[in-house]
Amino acid sequence: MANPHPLLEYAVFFGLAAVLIYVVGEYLAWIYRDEAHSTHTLPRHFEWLERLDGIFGRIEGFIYRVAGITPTREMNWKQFAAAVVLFNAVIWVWLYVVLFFQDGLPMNYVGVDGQSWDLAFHTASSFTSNTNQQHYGGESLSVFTHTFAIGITMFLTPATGLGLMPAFARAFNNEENPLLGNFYVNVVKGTVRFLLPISAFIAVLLISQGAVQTILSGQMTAETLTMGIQNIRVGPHAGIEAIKMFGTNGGGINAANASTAFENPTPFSNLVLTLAMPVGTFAGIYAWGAWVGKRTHGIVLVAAFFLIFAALAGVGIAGETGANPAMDVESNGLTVDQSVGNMESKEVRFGPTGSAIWGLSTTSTTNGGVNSMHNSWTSLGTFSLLFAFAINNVSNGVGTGLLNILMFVIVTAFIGALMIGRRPQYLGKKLEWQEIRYVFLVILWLPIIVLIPQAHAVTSSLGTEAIANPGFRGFSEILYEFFSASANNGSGLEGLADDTPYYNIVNGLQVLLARYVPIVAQLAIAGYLAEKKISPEGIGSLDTESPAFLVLLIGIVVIVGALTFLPALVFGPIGEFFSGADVFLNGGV
Amino acid sequence: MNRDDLTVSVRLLLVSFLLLGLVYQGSLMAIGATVFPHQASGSPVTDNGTVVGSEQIGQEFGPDDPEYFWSRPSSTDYDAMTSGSANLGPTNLALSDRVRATLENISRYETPDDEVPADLVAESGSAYDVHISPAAAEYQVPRVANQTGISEDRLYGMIDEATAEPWLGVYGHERVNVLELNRMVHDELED
Repeated sequence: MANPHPLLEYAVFFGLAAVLIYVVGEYLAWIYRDEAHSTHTLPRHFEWLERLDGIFGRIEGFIYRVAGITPTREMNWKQFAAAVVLFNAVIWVWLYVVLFFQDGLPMNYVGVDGQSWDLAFHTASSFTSNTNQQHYGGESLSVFTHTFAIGITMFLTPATGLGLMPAFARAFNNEENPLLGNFYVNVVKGTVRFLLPISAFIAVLLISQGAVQTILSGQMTAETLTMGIQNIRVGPHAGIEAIKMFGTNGGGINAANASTAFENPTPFSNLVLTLAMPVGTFAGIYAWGAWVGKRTHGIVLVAAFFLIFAALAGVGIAGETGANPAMDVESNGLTVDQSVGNMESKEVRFGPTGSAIWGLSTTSTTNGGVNSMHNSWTSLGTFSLLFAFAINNVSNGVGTGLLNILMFVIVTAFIGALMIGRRPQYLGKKLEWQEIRYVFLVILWLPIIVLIPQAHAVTSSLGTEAIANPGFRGFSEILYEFFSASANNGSGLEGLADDTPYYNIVNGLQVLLARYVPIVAQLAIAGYLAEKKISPEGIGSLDTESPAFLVLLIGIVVIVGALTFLPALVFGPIGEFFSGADVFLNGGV
Repeated sequence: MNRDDLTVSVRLLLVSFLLLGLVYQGSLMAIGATVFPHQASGSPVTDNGTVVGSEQIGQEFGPDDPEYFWSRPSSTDYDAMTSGSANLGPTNLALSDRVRATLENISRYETPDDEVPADLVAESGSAYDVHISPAAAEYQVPRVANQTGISEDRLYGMIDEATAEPWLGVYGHERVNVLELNRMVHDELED
């Protein structure tokens, strides 16, 4: 049997992703039906879900009692935002304490040190904000830290994101009612019904493929043929990996993330984990249609962002199945056969296509886990990754992704209505200056917190001393790092020596600003809209279920992203692409 | 700040230690130990009861071991207590230099072809990839045959045995487990 053609792998992946988005999307829509004030009915082949209500309800009831949650308590947007920020602050403090003091805590089987104050600041901020950018190697954390700090944060932060979605649906389903629901109920339901069972399922699949799973040991020792003793790091890899990929977390238990076999052992595990990324985020976008009573509109939104994702993956595959110019060399009559593609920093079992699809999945969501090292990607491949960042990671994060794409949707509805001379409204709610100013704040927030620090970092030795590769690639390394922090992604053009107070503080602030400023703004938008009357859509209203709306939406997303970041991309991958090979063959950049 | 919110947040975190820390990771460990004990314990390879490696983790076989099939270059010398490649970019001359040095090592022995399969000179992302492509394994057959005296046919048979297929033939790549292959070579030499 030979290797599958890249187009076959592409078709298999996107075909399966589309089916799973539908199934998981309906499931998610069911979970939050009441919290979203939705009246949608389940499709007939999903009606059996109602029988699960009793089992889940009992677990949730137990948690409400133990945690002291009053499920009937309703919050307005300010109370909701306060609950989000406070809950996340508590997680942050716990993370910081564990990271700083982990050398003195139990289950430190291999004797790791505590993190420095600035590294712990960055790590705690990065994991609390669902970014999972890492300025350390995963192996430098203890099994305790992974199990009881990093691991539980990987559930609670996507649950925070999930918890925002039904609140935002209330904005459109409420008739002059400012109450958005109970944040804690949403977190508990999202964890118990969505994140926990699906992650456990993925984790068992991973173990069957060869992922290691133990919380009682930190290493195994082998007597090898040629290299003496080889110590191998072990731990709760399967459990962490599953929620890391499904919850758009991305922070590896190993430094080399899912390129290592204990995180991602086989082509099958690779397929499952790659699918886990977009399915988690797009399911929320699909569910939106059900919640607001317009499934076709949900499908149009999924389609728009799915097409962008698939197109970027195509560019990524084109880049990575091409040759690496630096390996186009000759020595003693031997040259390199690169017909398979660019293999530098990639695993044989995944190949260039499986690595490229993963790379675009991790940057078309805010996951940030990697199964190949992006810094060794070709300039074309790197361009596709950075472009995905420029449009705020396409489908963004679990939960927050829906809210972020809705900002673009609202702008599209706004512009679309003005184009046909109607008063702007979306789903029956009029769009006025008090909401729209926050929509624009959220959309402009990414360029503000990426480009201003970028300008400083590339002109200061504090920034440039960390660069690993010369020339355009070095510019890309810093741009990628700031994008990654500011889009709450977490991957990197690793090699950048980023564990310095400068990067720890700048990136640490970026991840926090990138997460909480938009969340508060979006809850404010929800609060304002929820108080409005629902005006029925007339014959002349903008049709949000049409192909025309889909095209307009894609156009707005791409133009906003491309125009804002084009100059920066020119200094990075575009410059490398156009000068790369030539400059390189003439003696290097 | 609402005192109730703070209490609820702290208590929710405490429930999470139990449910998402202990119960989740612990029951996965229990399922692993009962249903997939070999995989969950790190897929150990044993020889007379001694652990000699993991099926999932590559070991260093390189220019100093011409009698074995070589693994891929590694910037960490197959240290599995850490991971990660050197992150050299596609226009970095240091990458060209490293590739030339690897080609030079390969050229010291028998080569069936002037074109060396890419994965044999490219570093892996993990720095301990246990696999090489079938092409990269077959490329090394003349050298290993000459160094060990094992027939080329026998070596091709071993490569076949150590080869795993893409998932259902539609996702991922064919690969040869270098550790498994070299254990076979080793056992053949011992006999």
